[in-house]
Amino acid sequence: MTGSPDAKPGPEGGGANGRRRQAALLRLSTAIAAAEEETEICHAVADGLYDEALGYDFVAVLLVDGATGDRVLVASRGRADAPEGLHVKPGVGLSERPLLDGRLHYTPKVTQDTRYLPTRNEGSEVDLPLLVNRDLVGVLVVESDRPDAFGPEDFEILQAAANQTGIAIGRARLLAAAQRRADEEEALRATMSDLSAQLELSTLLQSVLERAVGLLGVSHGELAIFEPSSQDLVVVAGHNVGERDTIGTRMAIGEGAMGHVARTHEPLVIPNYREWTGRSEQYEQVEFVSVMVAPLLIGGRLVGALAFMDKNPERVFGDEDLRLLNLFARHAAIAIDNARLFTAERRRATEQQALLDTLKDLSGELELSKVLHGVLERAVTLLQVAGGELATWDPVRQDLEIVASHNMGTNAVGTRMALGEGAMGQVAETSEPLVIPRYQEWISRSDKYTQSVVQTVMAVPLLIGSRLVGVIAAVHSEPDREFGEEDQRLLELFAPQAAIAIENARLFTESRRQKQYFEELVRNSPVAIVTLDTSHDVVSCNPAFEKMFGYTGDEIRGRNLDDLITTPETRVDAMGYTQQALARNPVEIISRRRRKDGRLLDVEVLGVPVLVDGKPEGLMALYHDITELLQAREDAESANRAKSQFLANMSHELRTPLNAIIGYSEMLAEDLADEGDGEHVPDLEKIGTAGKHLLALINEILDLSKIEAGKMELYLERFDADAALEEVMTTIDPVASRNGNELVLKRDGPIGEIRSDVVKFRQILLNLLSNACKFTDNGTVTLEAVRSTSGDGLSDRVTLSIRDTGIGMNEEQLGRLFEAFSQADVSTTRRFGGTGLGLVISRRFARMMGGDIEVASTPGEGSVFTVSLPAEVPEPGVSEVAASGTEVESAELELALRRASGPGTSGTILVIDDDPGTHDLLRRSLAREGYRVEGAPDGESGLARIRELRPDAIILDIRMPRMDGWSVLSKLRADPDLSAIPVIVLSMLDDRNVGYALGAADYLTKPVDARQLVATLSRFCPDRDAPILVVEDDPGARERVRRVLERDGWKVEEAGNGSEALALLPELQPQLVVLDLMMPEMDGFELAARLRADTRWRTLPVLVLSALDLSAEQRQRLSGSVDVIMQKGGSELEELLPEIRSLLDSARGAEGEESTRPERNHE
Amino acid sequence: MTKILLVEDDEMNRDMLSRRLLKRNYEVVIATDGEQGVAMAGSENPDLILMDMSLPGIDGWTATRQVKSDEATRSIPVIALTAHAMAGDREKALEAGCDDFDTKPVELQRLLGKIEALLGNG
Repeated sequence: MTGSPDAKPGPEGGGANGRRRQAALLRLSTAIAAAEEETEICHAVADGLYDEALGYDFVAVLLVDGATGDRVLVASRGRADAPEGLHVKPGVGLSERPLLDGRLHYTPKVTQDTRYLPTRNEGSEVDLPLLVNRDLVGVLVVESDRPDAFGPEDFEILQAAANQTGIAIGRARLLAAAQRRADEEEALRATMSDLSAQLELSTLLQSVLERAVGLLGVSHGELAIFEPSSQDLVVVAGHNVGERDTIGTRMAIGEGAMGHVARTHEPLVIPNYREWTGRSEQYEQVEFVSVMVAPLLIGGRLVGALAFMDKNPERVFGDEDLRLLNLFARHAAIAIDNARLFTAERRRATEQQALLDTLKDLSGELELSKVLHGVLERAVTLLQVAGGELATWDPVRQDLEIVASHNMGTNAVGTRMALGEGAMGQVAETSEPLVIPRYQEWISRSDKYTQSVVQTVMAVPLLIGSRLVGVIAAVHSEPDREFGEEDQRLLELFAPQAAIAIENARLFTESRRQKQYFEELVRNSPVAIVTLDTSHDVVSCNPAFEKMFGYTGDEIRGRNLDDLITTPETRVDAMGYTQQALARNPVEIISRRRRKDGRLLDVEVLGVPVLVDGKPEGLMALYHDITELLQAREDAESANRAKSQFLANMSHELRTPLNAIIGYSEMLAEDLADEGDGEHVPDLEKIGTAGKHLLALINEILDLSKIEAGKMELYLERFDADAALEEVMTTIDPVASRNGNELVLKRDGPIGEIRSDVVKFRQILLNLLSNACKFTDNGTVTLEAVRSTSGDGLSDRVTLSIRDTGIGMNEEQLGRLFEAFSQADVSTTRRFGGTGLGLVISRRFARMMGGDIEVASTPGEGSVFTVSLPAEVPEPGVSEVAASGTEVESAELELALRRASGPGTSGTILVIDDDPGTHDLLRRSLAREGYRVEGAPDGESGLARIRELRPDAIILDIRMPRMDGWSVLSKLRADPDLSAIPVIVLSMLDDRNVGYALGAADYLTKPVDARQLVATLSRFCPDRDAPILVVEDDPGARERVRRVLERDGWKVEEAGNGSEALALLPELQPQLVVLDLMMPEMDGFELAARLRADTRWRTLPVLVLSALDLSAEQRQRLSGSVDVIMQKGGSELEELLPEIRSLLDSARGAEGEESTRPERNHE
Repeated sequence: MTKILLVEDDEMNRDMLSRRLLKRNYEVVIATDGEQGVAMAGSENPDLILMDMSLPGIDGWTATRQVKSDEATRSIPVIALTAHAMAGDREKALEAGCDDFDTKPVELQRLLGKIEALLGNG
């Protein structure tokens, strides 16, 4: 090799040139060492060798592309036609030679070589291999424009440069690989954490695989997981594996590459799979050659296997690949395990939830037997047990009844278990779950289960709160199965739902049973019952109703009841009552109804609202047919009248001959005595005495019949009680001495004056004293009198005790003592005489006067009769008898007061009278005129009703018990709130001067003429034709007021504000204005003021109804211009009505007078 | 001699009472019904009238009212005789204008006491 003399740098030469070359080589070496990156190194080499001192014309570094085998020009100097990035295909060009044999090639004349790519003429070239750890990674090309330009020194220099370059590249590549590994690990970690978040196993595995395939740069990948149940590997993810989808492919342990690593737990690299003897038949037809497989392990436990394959035979898996494979395998194993745990857990939870959900569905099921079986079956499924039993708790019998049994060998349904008996009994007792691992050996097991297949039992209570509903038990029949904590947890999770489902169904069943029970009661009730909906239509009726009214249920269902069974006279009332009952006010009335066949019935009706959850659903009406009862009562009354009449007549007829007997015997006795013939006088006296006794009997019978007919009257007068007592003692003295009795009057002090019926007072005492004398022989009869006045003076009574030392009476005799016509003993009558009526009459008299008679007695020792009477018997009169009178009469009054009233469109009238006939008559005649007629049986309750009702007028009787009409009238006049209500006196007595003096509006005498009464009332009742004007801006409030007023029979007009009201006034001519204060345009204050300023409206009553909390100043503004202020919300709207009536009453009273307007407040 | 008008429809009562009064030195004139009684009160000018209440034709109350409404006979005391103390009979009698009343059968001594009291001799 010779250096060319004209060579530019010339490889040869010494001296100065040699030193320059050394310096260039030093720089080159430094530059290569300083470069870190592969390309940088290449540039350093190219730059360093293309140095003037070295004299080379072209330097290039080409690196082999691993994928294609192409040489890629990375760095070059000296020629423009060799750009970086130029690819040179294998088989082309001189620079391939070092790659084929790893040696330096020198071409002295490049044109002589066929592989030379002609880029310049002549010249020479050196190609050197670049080696990294014996791997040929590239070529260093150095050219000179001259042929034969390189000598041995050049070869040495270049070889050293190539070696250094190789080392540098190797180092750079290591660095890059380390860097890449770090990056990969980071990327993988990020990927895995992303993927793990998905926890969806199949998706996750596919992602892991795709990721790994990408990172490893392989053509195929596959991932299988280990299925413990089948001990197989199952392919769950694949990438590009063959034509077919390998997902789902199963491999036994040991089968194929994956099976192999599953057994060995070691990674495996197979360079040529097709030649591998262990390959699986399932992978015969595959295109890949290189295979790398790793087991997926978690702490030695096999989870699956991961395989990567490549079809390129050159792709030999090295250490780096294995490292990555292991990395993936570790991550994948953890991910798979997590996901599998998660998936399994979730599947289980899902299943359980589904089961619990069906249990919730079961809560909607109301058929108890279905629920019980459903609950049990679900429990059995949930726990995957052999069988189970369900028992419900019977709170009455305090035991359990097995109600459902599932697969228990013997069907125990119906068996009852006592508290504490067997497993279920114990659970019921403790309300705690119980697990019994070996039931047959359990000491407390129930006799009822000795023969069963039960091995293991778990029982939990079904509780709602702390209340036991039942017990559910699950059993295993296999000896090796046990219940764990998880099972107990599940059953306890299940139990509350089951308890609710059972309880719901039981409640439903119970409510259905109760419904049937009540329906049965209604159906079989002898009382006619009908139910109506809120529109008064019939919903149902019972057979008694059908029978009473002659309609079938089907005929009347859905029809208006009042249309069907009322008479023309009772229809309006009946509708009113229906309305009333629906408005939650029970109705109890006596009225008349019509059967389907037209026959009329007298009925007692009870109408009650049917409220469900406080809301009216309709009403229930009960009808009691009292036609016969009324008839019977009428018959009885008429029979009683006939009896009284008969007795009165008979006593008269009896008395006439008796008078003759008594009179003539007395006359004869007188005559004989005058003539001195005394022989026959005793006989005549006996005739007279017998006659008088008979007369007494007749008189007492008559007294009693009068008392019973309520015709006995009291005549009260003031008298000296001491004188009366002494007189009685004198009178009775002969009777006492007849039996040798001593008569004693005992008083601590004088009794003084009392007010009583002196005749009856004496009659009572004479009767008791003569009885005492009759039944006592040679003893003492004592009359003890005491007046006792309570400290407050409210009670002032006279007590009279008649004590004898006679034969006395036993309990039985005492019991019958006060019964009419039953003397203590029939033999007594014979022995002692008397009617046996005296005591009965005496007691009745005492009671009429507000007192009583009581008796105490000891047989053989004597008796004490104690009379207690008020010292001041209250003002009685006719009505005192009515008040204390017969039961028939007071019942009649009560009935009359309850009888139908009118709708009230003409006004409300209160009738105060003690006579039921008057109530009845007035109610009939006034209701027809549209009046609502209310009643009170006496003055006291009448006053109370007046305050409550604020009636438009009062019809007042004078003679009444407790408080008479005059007192009522004067009390009314004394009360400013009530004084305006007109009172029409209706009395038997004609005391019209007294009446007018006391302030009666009119005075009518009984019997009343209905037309006259109606005419009178119409003078006093408000005119319902003139409207009430409601001035209110809120339409809702206006409507509410309108409804209340219209219900009370008023006409109502409306105005939305003050100016509207003013405009309407002349046309409407209202009788009263109900006024809101806060309104647009013209408010209530202004309207009120304008009304008072206008002579036409000055006297128009104004009632303010406002929600406004009035200030003192506002009140001042209103005073004098309005009549009443009512607070909205503070009072019920209904309270408007009495205010309005009272206002209109005052207005009428003030007509023609200049009245001051006292302002009243009702808040 | 004191003249008593006895108004009584029942023959036996009339007989007994008149005979017993006659024995006690009273002059007795008799009417057998209400109308006759009223007429004789005017014509006989008796010192006192004993009036039965249950009479045929006009009854004792009506008869008494008529006697008491006539200026000529008003001052004659009238004692009502009633069969029995029927409720209200006494009031009705007094209301009709009777000055006193007594029950039948007559207890002679009591009746004589009332007669003498009314005549101002008691």
